[in-house]
Amino acid sequence: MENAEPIFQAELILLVAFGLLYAAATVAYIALLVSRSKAAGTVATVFLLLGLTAQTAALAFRAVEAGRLPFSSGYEMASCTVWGVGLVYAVSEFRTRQKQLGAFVLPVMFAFSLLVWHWKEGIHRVLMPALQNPFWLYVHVGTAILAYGGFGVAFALAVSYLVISGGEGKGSAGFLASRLPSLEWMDDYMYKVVAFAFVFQTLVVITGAIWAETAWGSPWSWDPKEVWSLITWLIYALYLHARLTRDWKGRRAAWLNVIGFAAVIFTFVGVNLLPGLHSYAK
Amino acid sequence: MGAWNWFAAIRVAIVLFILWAALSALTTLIPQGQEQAYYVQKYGRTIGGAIMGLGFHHAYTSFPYVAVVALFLTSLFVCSVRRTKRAWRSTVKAKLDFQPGTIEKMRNRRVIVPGGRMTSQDVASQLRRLGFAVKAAGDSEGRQLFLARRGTIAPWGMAAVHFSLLIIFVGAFIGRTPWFGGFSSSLIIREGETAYDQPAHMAHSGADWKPRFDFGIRLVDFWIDRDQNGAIKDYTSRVEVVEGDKVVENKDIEVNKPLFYKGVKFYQSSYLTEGAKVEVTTPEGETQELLFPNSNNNSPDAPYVPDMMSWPQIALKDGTEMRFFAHGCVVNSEMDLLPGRRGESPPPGMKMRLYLVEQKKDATQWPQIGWVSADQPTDFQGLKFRVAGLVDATVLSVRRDPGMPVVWFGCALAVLGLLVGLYVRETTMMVCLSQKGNRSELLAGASAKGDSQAAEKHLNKLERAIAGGK
Repeated sequence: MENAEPIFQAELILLVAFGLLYAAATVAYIALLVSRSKAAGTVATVFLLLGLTAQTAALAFRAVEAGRLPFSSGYEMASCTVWGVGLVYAVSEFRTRQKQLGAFVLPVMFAFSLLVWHWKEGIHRVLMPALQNPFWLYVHVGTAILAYGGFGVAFALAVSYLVISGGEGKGSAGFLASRLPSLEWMDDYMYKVVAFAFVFQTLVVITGAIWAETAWGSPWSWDPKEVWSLITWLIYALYLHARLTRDWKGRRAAWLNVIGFAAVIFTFVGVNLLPGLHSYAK
Repeated sequence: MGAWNWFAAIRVAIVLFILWAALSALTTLIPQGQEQAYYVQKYGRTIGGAIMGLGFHHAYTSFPYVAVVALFLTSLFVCSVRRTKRAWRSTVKAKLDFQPGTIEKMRNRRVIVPGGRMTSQDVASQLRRLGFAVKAAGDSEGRQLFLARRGTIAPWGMAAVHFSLLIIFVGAFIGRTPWFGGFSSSLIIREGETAYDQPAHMAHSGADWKPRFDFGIRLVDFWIDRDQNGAIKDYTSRVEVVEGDKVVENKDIEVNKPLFYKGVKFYQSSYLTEGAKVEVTTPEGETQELLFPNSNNNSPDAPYVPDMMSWPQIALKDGTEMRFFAHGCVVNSEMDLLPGRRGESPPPGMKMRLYLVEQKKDATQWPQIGWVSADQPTDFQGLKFRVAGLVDATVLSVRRDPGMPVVWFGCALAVLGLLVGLYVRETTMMVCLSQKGNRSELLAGASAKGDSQAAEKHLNKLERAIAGGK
């Protein structure tokens, strides 16, 4: 998008702050995994929550300055998605009391924070006409944040599952297996997180269609972003379908989650390289 | 029944999921709607030819894509029917039809020994307190068997999701085909003009077309709002809906704010610069207007270029007709970036070079009227010429889609079905109560669809409830 102002100093500082806090949380979660120290776990959670607070402040600052929620550019979306992953993980950690998974989730968040840094830009005061529908903008993008947040956590679970199950109890896989919840637990929780996120992914597609019908006169235009949202939906639908009907569990299910998250990444980043109606999200 | 069972197979559904996703991914990488030469140049003769041969230049209506989606929908239909039957059997026709041996084989099971003797009413009551619907029966060895179920609505949720996807496709089909009165087109209306559903204003195919709606749309005004940096804030078409002689509705159509009238929706799609206006004042003081069409109206961002083949004319009082030719139009190149509204006429700095057409002479010999601007009239043979401005036309997308309510119903059903199917846990407990002297013993097994932890939780609750009940 053209005509962005320079980014505010305050927002820049908060951007650096949450990036560093997520990096610190990553180190602390890994330390927890290695040492099994309760103190390391507490420190890790504190860094995560401080990072989330800093990121919430950054997003709130931008919202107040722009007069709308920060949902309308690639930079804003990337930041909100990192925040979404953090929120879903924080709630998961609170509910399950399993902190060790942070060693897999936080690196994902930190990596995305680097993308946020790379894409940083100032506020676009004027939204292009198609985006000037606050209700559907907030609902459509809000559901995407929760969907991608859930899929991000499921991806981290899938990676940890594959690492442990692939090592057959030997070497680093055995080391991790002794510190992480059981494979059965992780498989089960992966299903629950995907079930949560999938409803929101369905809402992303539906609310996007409703909004498109209002703005462009057609609920579905085979735009690359729309098609990749559908592909993401199909992959996770396949995962849920196979799990519930064929009891697909284990590595096969974990790999599906990895492929699904790859589709999420492409929907988010890759489609900006393809022409289409959603190209304003660059 | 062979084909039916084939489509019902989970393996087939899984393959179709993968095929549809993979084909969709591939087609997003291929630019759509180009000519053969484009694909050959970009991808080479072999791949370019394959793209054209498979129809992937119009991927989403190509045979392979439509075939995969059709197979998927067929499998979906078969699975929907099966799921509904299964949901019916499990909810309405569930029978208590198991032996204690069945419980022994369940993954989540335990033996619960209460403190004393329990009656079958005690067990049933505890199960009901945990939210289960209970069926009980005795067996030939004096044991009491209990089938306890909760969340039995969950399979209906999943059946609803399956059907909802079919409903969405049915709605889309209804909207896309003309059999139900659906159509999609574009309407181009010049400022001041009233457009109807006629070939002059809207695309129609076939010689014996019929109007799809019986009212007119008059474009009163069109403008673009820009911010102080020249970025477009919005496009607005101020329109009136005209029926006969009466204006029945007024509306400012903007992006995200379509006009909806008699089942037809009008969306702000684009705009064109149709032409440039020049006012001609005769010696008698009469003013006529010349419209010089734009030859470059394929894109709203294209600048106005006079159409070389269009010679607008005026008629004088003595019956003389005069034709004029425009060669060159200068519009302030930053005109479009000025803040506020574009559409106020005339734009500052606009001028056009006009000639008088004398058809018997070569064009190079046509008398030159000179540069005509908005500020000062230009005199020529007693006539005064003044630039009046650009003529914009709005482009509205027009659509009647009788299938949309069906699609939205399908979407709502999909979400509701998912909430029920995924978040309501269908749980079954099988309990066998046997009396051993002064004591009772319960063998309890639980299963929760897709969630063995939930099954364990219910067994824990049952155990605590039985212990607490004593």
